[in-house]
Amino acid sequence: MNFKKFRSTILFLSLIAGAVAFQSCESDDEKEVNFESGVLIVNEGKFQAGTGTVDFYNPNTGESVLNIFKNDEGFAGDVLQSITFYNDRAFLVLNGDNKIEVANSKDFKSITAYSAPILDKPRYVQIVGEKAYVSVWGPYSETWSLDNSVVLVLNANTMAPLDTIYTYDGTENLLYDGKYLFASNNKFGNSSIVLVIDPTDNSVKHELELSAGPEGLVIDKNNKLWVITTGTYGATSGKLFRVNATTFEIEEEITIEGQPSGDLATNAAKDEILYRVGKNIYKIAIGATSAPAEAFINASDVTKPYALNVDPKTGDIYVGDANDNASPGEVFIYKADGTFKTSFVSGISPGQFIFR
Amino acid sequence: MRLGILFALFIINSALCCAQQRDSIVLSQVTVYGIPEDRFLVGSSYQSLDSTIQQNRASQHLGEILSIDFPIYFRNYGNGMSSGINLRGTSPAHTAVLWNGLNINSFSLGQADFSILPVTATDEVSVHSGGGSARFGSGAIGGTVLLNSTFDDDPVLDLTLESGSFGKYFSSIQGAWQRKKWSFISRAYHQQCDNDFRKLSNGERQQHAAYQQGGFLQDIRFQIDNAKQIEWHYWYHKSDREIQQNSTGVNASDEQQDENHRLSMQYKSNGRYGSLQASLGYVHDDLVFNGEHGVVERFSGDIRYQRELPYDVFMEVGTSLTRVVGKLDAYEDNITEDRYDVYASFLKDFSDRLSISINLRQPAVKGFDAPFLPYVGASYRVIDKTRMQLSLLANASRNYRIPTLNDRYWPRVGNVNLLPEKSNAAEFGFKWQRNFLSFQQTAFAQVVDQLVKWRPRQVQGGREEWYPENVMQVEIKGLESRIAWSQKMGSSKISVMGNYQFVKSITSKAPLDNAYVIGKQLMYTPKHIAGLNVQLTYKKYFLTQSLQYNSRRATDTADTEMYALDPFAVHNISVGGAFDLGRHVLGVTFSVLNVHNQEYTLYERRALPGRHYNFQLNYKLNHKAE
Repeated sequence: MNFKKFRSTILFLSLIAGAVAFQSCESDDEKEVNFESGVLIVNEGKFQAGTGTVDFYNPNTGESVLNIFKNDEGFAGDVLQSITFYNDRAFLVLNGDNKIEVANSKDFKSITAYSAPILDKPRYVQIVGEKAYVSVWGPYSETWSLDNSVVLVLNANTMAPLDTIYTYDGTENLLYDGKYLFASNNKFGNSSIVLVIDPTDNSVKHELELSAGPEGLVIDKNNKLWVITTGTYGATSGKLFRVNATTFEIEEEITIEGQPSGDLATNAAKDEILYRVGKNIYKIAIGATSAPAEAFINASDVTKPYALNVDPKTGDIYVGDANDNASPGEVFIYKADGTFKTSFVSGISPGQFIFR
Repeated sequence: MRLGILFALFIINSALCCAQQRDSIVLSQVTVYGIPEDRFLVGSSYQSLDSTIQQNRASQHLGEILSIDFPIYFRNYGNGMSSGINLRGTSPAHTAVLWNGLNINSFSLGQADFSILPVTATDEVSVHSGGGSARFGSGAIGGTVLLNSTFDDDPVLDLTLESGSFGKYFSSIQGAWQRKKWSFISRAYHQQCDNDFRKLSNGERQQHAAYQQGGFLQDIRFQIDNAKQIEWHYWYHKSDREIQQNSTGVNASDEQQDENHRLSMQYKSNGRYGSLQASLGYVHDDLVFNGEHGVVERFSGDIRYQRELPYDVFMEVGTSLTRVVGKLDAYEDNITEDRYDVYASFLKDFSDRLSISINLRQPAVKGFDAPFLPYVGASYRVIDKTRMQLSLLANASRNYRIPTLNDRYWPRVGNVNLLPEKSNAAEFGFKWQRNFLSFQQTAFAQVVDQLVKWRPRQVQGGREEWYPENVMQVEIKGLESRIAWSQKMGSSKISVMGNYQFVKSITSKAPLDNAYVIGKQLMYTPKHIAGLNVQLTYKKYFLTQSLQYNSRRATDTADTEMYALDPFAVHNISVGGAFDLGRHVLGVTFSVLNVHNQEYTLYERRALPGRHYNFQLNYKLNHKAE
């Protein structure tokens, strides 16, 4: 064996390695698309895989664009819980990455990202004026429960922390009705409280005690607050509450057969409330005193319902299908009359729909 | 025509020609008989790990090493973190790991964590690829990794020190001595690593990934007389690690400790009427995750008898009992169950050319009727000349895996009546050898049925509950090639080893609501795996290079392109030398790993280091020349 052979062998090996390494560095062209008008699908992604994505759907053309926001890894991040808009910005709340990605709301190009030790398992953002209120679960306790949840108040322009509001734990949805900020505390069904926060001084104005597991919040056309409660683990029923949003008086308490999900939506006219039990979607008039016996839609083609919302322009009902939470999901659209309209493939575990 | 007949007869070779030479292990004055494991697996691919790789990479774990010498993919959850094997397109629970004959897979999880199997803790590592349940029992579907201790008393003393990038320190010491009828081999090892490498994705340092592990092994053999001996093997291993923070740097706090005691005792006796081997085994595994313990103990007894029957048929019959005791914090009660096996193996060499073996096993396990597990293999040497040999190999087998303790006993949803996963497997191939060049080609196919999958179901009130069910089926088809060539020229030698595997591992049955996974490649299962190793030696110096390639791997169950991990190739180089002075040998090895700074992961978001270095110093004291 002479040195030449030595050298050529090394060279040969290096060449193969180089060629293979080079192969994986391709860049993909991105089309300029405007996402200002249409439907955004917020996909959690596979748990711990960082594959949470945002999809855009144009209901006029029926076209969808997958994965419109890309971080260094090509996705939005781990467990994309929700998106909230503020002026020309979109706040992408990443529950798994403990981060809020801030994107341009038109083209979804990344602007900045916010993370801080206190931002531990963030859920939802609600904008009030120039402030962003963020519900945060906080760290798990020794028993995998939550005992340190907060609503974090940030300057929505600079993301600078302004205040921290301590809540009953497991703070989930946030809703601002123009006067008060309502915060539901689900805590896996172990809290019954919706906090009423006065955003002028961030004080807790009232503790609204409902039944176990408050989650989804909506406002109807009469400016009444509706809250759905999911019950504790293994519960066989939940409840719907209609609450006076200024006096905080419970006006109606409706028992739901079967354990509902936390999803809650209004129809386009805001005179009907939609909720879900398993694959059954129910519709209830805002003046009703009891739950309907019959489902409005039986979404039997949906494998694993994961999200529910209504397009306020068309009244179309959107249902997210998470399949096995580890492969692309699907979006099922039903017309306002409950008949099936269309379906299309989304990212993994579609968990929220936003209509713009 | 002749070929056709041979195939029909299920013929094949002896790629095992080297194994035949080991039929009897000759010790100084005594002879202990026994047909080696691989001889009963005629027509299979059975290969030992290259010993130079083992020596040069003493501080690494088997999940890092086996992929150098074999077309095997490991899903490592980071550097030094948990490591699961994908052998021949199967999932990690479909490979059985045997240490001195004792199955050491985790009974609660099903799979073996290769990151707590350090290379330094074992003398001989062999891989049997393909179905082997008839020989190795539950879990031997994709294959079996066999770790065996030998009683080699040379060197007398072996000391290794290593230092590597990101605060890695490794040391091991091994001593061997024999006195009259006693042989002892003791060894201890320890390693620690800060593991704060710079991530290639963003240049930041990896946080929360430090680990350390250590262990102790003791092998003792007592030679009662010329025909009887007792062996003890004991292995204690402890590891403590921070679970590697994911690539985006979310605050991580998970920690895992593993503690394993493994004891194997064997009594071997030869007589005029055959040989007897009685074994007792004990394994105590404790996996502690964030303070939550999962203890599983197993006690096993095995007795087997080998003898030659008329017509030159070798026979082995045996029976074994395993008692499994699960003491897991997650379970409501401790669980105990007994598993029995009876088995028989037959081997016949019909001529110098034709060998056939038949292995049969019938297990008995609580909760289901265990399948009968046959293995039939054959080899036929078509060309048998001094300079060139060509052998044909084939085998067919039925294999199974008992569902894990979690599948069987998880509170509320576990189901002891779950059926075992079972597979029908077949392969055929050839091995061609001419002088110093050999080429082996195998085609394999396997259908794994009744696969357990955890699925959600709606329980009363619409809530979702996850439970295990036998619902999936996977069809595996593949090709495996191995080429080896070596050439000596004066005081230099070059040896080249290449391997390649193509595998389609496709979900063929799934429940209706999971139908979108049908026809899709399994997650973390590359279709193409290739490896190339080149070793050059010149007098006392050596240069070895290895190159490993893996094609894209799906991370979602529907094999979606956008979520897949990119293909990668990693190139490693080691240089060194061994300098001897009488009985003293000093070895020095310097390694550059991931030479080309390839950014890659084996599991999504678990970064692996770019170019890094390792320095090894090895001292051996050899036996006095006789």
